Amino acid sequence: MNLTLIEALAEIKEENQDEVRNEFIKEYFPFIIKKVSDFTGHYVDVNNSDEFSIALDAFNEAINRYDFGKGKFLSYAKLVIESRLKDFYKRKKNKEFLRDSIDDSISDQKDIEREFILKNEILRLSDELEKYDISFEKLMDTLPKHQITKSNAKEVTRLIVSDETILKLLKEKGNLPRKEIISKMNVTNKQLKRSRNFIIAMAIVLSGDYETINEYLDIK
Amino acid sequence: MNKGVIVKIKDKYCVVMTQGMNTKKIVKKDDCRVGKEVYFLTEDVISSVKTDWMRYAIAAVLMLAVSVGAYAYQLQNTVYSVVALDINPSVEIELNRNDKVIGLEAINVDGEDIIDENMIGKPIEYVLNQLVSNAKFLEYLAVDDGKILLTTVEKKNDNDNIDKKLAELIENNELYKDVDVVILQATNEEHEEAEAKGVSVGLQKLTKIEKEINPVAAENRTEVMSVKEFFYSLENLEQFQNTEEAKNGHVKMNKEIMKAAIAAHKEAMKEEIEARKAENGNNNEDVDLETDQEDVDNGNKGKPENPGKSNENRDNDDEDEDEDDEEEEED
Repeated sequence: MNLTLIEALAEIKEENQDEVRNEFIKEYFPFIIKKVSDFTGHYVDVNNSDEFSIALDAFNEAINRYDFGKGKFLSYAKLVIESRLKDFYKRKKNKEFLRDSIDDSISDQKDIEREFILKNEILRLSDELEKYDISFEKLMDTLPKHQITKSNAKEVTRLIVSDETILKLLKEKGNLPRKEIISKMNVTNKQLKRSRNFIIAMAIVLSGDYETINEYLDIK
Repeated sequence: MNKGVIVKIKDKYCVVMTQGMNTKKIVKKDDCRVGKEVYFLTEDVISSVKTDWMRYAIAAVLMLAVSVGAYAYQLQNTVYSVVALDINPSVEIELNRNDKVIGLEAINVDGEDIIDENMIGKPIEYVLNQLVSNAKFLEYLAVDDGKILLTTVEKKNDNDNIDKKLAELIENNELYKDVDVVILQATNEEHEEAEAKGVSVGLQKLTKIEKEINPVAAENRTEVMSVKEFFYSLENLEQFQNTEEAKNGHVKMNKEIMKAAIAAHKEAMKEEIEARKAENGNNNEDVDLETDQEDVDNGNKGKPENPGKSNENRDNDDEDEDEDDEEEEED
């Protein structure tokens, strides 16, 4: 959207098309997330954040109620978001002893399950990576920066996972069987050394029982 | 906006894994749990160790640069010496280590007329020439019979560099050809004392000298004297040349003109002093009379009265008149 904020708002108000409105709200997701995070002091949960949905509603409300003479839209939106969040916390406090609606508890249940599974997988992965002397921080520091290096590393990972002997060697040696890889692929020793942590981490996730973390991999 | 799952929690940060197995450090907030999937913004991301190191390095270099700069700035802006210029306009010039002007202050109202903000940052020679030219232009300084008093105060330096510089300037520059210039040295204490009194250090010094060499005239003086007064007084001048101060300083005088001027003034001065004495004798009597008899007998107003005021404060004229009236009344 190349319109300015005010032009976009005017368009939304005039035409009243849901598509345009949703597009606009999506564009301001970071803003809404920031306001929620600032307000609550924690990160917005991707799966289930009451605060985030309330903030989304509040942002929508702000679009409806914004008067062009009232000053900056974003300041106004921030005000509405914050006051709706305050209301929410008040209500929550009052309802503390009552069970939430059934719908809520079901979706909560799902989210809690997902989080539990993820946590489990992460802890297992963390332990397994340790055998290869890889921590998440180390992984971060040695991530390939260039897209080409990354896709090369993914190629290597695919090879390792598809080739049982190489995979076995990897797990036995606790390191990349570079000779074997080079013999089967057009890749240099240096490239393998550089992307070692990244390749091993991906290979372990792909070959192991990490269903949920798998979603975070680009390789299928 | 990014989406990721928290994989590790440390004291000061969390590690999140995002799509493509990218891992990032993000600021730790409340309610961080391993396995929680969160939205985070670029501003939450803590840059990697390498960039942190770079950042510290840059910060260190910057700080060094700033402190070196501040030190240099301080060096440039520390007052090493002060030159007080007295014509009638009195101006105090503050100099840094390189004898560049870093401060200019008009000590009296006339001083304001000859100073100019553009003089800041210029060498002392330039500024002094400008000040003297301005004084000439505004007729504070008589074209062929001007008197200039320069008083130097060494604040930090112990050498008398600035005196030499000034002496050289006034001896060689055309501007000072027909002007009498005296350069005196004042101590830091003298300067501070004058500053506290709000008078020029040069004039204060002259007053002191006069007290030593001409106690009678000094006693009659209520105001700080002016440069002209001091130099037009023959007694002062003759004896002044033998004083320690004059020997320490630098005296450039055109004796011919000087003598003529002195001769012309001598008589007037004497009369003035006498009148002054007479007035002084009467001063002990009721001060109340001053207001009561203001309007009485304006007729016989003769000689100028107060040598201390004649050259300087025009504002005081009214007051002087009152005193006159009173004087004559009493007679």
